[in-house]
Amino acid sequence: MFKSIRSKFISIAVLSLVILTFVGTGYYIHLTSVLDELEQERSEVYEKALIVEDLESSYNDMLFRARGYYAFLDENEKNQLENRLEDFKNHLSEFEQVADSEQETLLYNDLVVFIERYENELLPAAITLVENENYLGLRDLASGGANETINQFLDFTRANEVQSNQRLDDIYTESVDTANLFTLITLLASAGAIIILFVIIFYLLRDLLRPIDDLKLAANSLAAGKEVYHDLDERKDEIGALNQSFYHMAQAIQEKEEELMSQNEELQAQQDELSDHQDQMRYYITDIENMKRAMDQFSLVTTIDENGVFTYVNEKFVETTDYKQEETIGKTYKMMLVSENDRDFFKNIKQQIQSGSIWNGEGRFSTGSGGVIWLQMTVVPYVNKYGRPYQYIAIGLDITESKQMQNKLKESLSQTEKTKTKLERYNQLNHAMSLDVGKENFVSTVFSYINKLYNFDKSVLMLVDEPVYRAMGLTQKTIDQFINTDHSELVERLKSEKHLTVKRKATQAEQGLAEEAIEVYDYYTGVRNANGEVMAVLAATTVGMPVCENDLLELDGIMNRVSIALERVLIYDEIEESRKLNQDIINNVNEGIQFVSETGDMIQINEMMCELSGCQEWLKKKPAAKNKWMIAFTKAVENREETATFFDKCITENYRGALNHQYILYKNGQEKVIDVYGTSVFNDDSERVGTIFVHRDITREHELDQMKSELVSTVSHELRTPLSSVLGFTELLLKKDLKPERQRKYLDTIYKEAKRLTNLINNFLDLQRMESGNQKYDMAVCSLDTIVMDVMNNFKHVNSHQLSFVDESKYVKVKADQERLEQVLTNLISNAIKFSPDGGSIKVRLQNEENQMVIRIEDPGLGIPKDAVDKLFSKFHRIDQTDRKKIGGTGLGLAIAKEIIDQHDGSIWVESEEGKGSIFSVSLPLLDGMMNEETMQSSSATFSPSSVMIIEDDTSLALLLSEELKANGFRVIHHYDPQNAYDDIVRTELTAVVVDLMLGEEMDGWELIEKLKLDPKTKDLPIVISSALDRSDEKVQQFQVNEYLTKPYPPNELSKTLLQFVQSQEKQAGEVLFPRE
Amino acid sequence: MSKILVADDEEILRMLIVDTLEDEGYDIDEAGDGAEALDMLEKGDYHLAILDYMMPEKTGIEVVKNLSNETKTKTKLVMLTAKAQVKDKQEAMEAGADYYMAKPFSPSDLVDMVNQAFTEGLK
Repeated sequence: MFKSIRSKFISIAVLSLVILTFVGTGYYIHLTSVLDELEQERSEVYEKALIVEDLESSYNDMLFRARGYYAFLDENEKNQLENRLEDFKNHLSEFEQVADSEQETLLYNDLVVFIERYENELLPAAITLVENENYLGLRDLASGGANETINQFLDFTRANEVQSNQRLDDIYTESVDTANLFTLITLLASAGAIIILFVIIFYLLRDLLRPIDDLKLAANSLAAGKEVYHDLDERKDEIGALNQSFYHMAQAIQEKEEELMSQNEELQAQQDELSDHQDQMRYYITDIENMKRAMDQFSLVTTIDENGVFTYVNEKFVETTDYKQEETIGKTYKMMLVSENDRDFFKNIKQQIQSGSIWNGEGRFSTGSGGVIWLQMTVVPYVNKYGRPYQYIAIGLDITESKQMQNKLKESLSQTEKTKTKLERYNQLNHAMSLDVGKENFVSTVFSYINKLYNFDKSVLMLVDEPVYRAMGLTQKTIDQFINTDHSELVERLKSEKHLTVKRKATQAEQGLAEEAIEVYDYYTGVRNANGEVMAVLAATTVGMPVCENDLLELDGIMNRVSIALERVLIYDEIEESRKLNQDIINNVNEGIQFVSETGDMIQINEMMCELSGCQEWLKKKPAAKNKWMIAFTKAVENREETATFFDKCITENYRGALNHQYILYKNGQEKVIDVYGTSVFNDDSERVGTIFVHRDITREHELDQMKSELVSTVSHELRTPLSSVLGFTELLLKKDLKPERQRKYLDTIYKEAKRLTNLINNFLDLQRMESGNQKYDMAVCSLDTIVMDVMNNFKHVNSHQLSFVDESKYVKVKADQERLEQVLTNLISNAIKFSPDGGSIKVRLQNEENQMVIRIEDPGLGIPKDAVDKLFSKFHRIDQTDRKKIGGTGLGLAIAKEIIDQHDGSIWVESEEGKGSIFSVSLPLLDGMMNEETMQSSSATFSPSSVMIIEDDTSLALLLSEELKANGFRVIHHYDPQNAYDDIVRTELTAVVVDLMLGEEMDGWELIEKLKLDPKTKDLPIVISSALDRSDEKVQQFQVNEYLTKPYPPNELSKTLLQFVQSQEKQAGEVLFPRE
Repeated sequence: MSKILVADDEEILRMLIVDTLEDEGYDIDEAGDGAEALDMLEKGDYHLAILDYMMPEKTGIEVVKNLSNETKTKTKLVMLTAKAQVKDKQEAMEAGADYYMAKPFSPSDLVDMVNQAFTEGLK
């Protein structure tokens, strides 16, 4: 919106003026009214003061007149008094007019009351009194009450005077103050007006002068040709308008200027272009001239008119065609025709160029010297305004030479094409051959290839040394015939000749439908290896037509190629076979084999290695990096780091020999000891190509080794101890003079110890024999009870334990090596004694059990820990038990026993409870009487629990009696030693006891009988004496012996007697039976 | 003080040693196993003890190892072993034995050794 500066300033000035006028006028009015008010108040006060003064003076006059009257009784005075009274009353009414305060009103009322009383009461009373000359009454009257009001009035007038004066002073002061204030305000207003004036001027200057300066600058800038910036246009006043106009003007000027400039430039450009055109034209002309020169140099240029007549020929034309200018110009082109055949060719050209288009092409022309030239031609028609050609220009390039070259090239190209095809075929063959592995495939490929190339009617390709062949066009019979013929002669010929050709007459089959005799050609060619030996033979037949010599040569070439490939195939087959063989060998070796490269990456591994290392498939498939296989291998190894170090060492260092290492592998919860050796592998040039590791599972060997070293230790101990005694005592005997008893004692000891040594050595020898399988067993039928009895006989002198033999068997025949069996039983019994260090009863029991003979040896000894039972019968095993340490032994006894019993098809086992004792059992197959259920039944039926004890040191007699008693169903217990027998009798329930009188040194039969009879538990036990001594009746009587049999007596006598006992057991207990004789 | 303790579970061998040394005038006590030997050595006052290596209850080495220092200093210890391997001797010596004798031994050698032990002890 446009805002004029003028109107702006006018409006400001008017506004200021109006405000000043209003304020000044208002203030003036206000001041005037205030002053008026003051003036009025002052006059009022003054007036009142006058009235009060008048009132007072009238009162005083009145009183003065009254007194004058009183004193003088003058009537004048009395009139005067009455006037004055009237005055007073007038003044009083005036006072009433101005009395505006309450006090004044009260006073007024009092004065009215007073004057009325004075006038109506006092004055008449006083007059009366005066008149009566009653002055005393007058005095009383004067002192009574009236004076109070008078005094009050006088006080008031005095106070009113003071007050009026005071008020007048105040009014005056106020008037002066108001005047001063007015003066001050007027001054301030003037100052404000001046300030406003200054502000207006300041703004006026600012709004007018600065934009003018800016405009001046802009104008200067415009003059200097600079851009004028449009920065004042925000103003809406005259300056803004001026600026706007100025800006528009500047812009207009600039635009015009630019337009002029561009027009100028355009003109310049047009001028440049023109001069360029001119230059170009000049160049063109030069170019054209040059081109013409160049064309004259290389091309034949002629112009021909519409009738085909030469009008111009250039130098080159003359030079090339050997026609002179004068010979050509004026003649038609037809003079240059080589033959009539070319007429059509020219007709074609003519047709094209007559229609107005350019012709391009090659053509041949005759020359002046009678030759022929080839020209690359362009014929351009010149057309008149009707489109008809009126002249032609022909430009030709001599291409005779290149044409000839081209023909030659074509020829050689076709030659190359042929060679290429051939080579391709060769290539195909080579490719096919190189892909083939295996003789069969190879022969097949080559054969089909050859047949593809040549049209043989029949053909066979076969290997000389192997029954591999392919055939075509032949019956199987013919093929077989051909293959199986001896070809050595043919082969021999083919060694020296590349191929053989045989021409022959056709056979009937080959003749076919042909009427004329047909000739047939047979070809033979061989595949020779580098040494000239024939590896394969190709036989082929063509019927009617021979194969051309070239083809035959080519065939030879093919054969050479085939020979190389065939050799390769054969070698490959051979290598493959031996590789397979090697792998098979490696895989079947019982050792883990592992081959690693020189950097330690695993290259090959055999099956066994796979198994050892827990065979992970990836190990088998491809080369595994060193740290990978090493981690996999040593994962379950106990001495892992050591093993890894060993691998590292072998891989990094050269070893002509081998490095050894053992490691322990945990596999399926078992501990395996593996021995591994690593050795460097070198190639022919002594370069190291890797390392081979051979892992061998030596767990068994290791165990054996350990067992053996344990054995050696044991044996050493076992041998050295008796040896110490032998040597020691011998030395004592030799070096010292000893008493005979001591000598005897030493010799005894030496003997015993030497025997112990012998036993030991025998055990070792036995074991050695058995291990090597050299032990011979002398098998014979023998009675087991006899054997047991014999063995037990050897333990007769054992006093520490009570040995007894309980025979519960019925059948006793077995097939056995008696000596070995005795060895086993001896061992078992001596073990029973040895391992029962606290003594006790050792029972050997013989029983029949289902086709088996079972011998049980029961001891009350140490027993065997459960975990040791399994290993008990293995070689070199001794139970590690504190109690047993003092018990010597080789640890071989039970192993030997087992070996022997195994050889007897028997078995040996043990039942044991630690601390309570053991029962070792041996079972052997029974020989006599297959013991089926029935016999078992019957035997058990007749087998009564009646037990008879035989105390007899004569084994054979004991056996004889035992046989007899067993046959009668008795269970027989054998004892040798009467003391042991006694101990046993006390514990056992018996039917009877059979006693020999001549027993051991310590106690004879009679002593035993005496003991039995004295013991209340056994005194009723029937006793039978079996003795060689004559019967002593006295003693028989004394001890109530039941029966006395004098040896020799038939065994059945004993059994009869005993059977009697059984029958009369109850009633005849304790009775002595006398012998019947 | 010239008492000797002979500890061996083999009675015969014990007899050999006892007879040999008694002839030389030594006063000898016998023990049948390792535990007994240890007990006797600690309670008695022996100048020399001949201990078999392989004994029940406690081996000779165990006996030596379990002896109090007091007993060790006052008693010379002879280890008798049937395993004549170098490492056995080493083991015996390391355990604290003073002498070592392998079985089989010559009684006169034993006498020599015992005599030597006694003269050394007197020095």
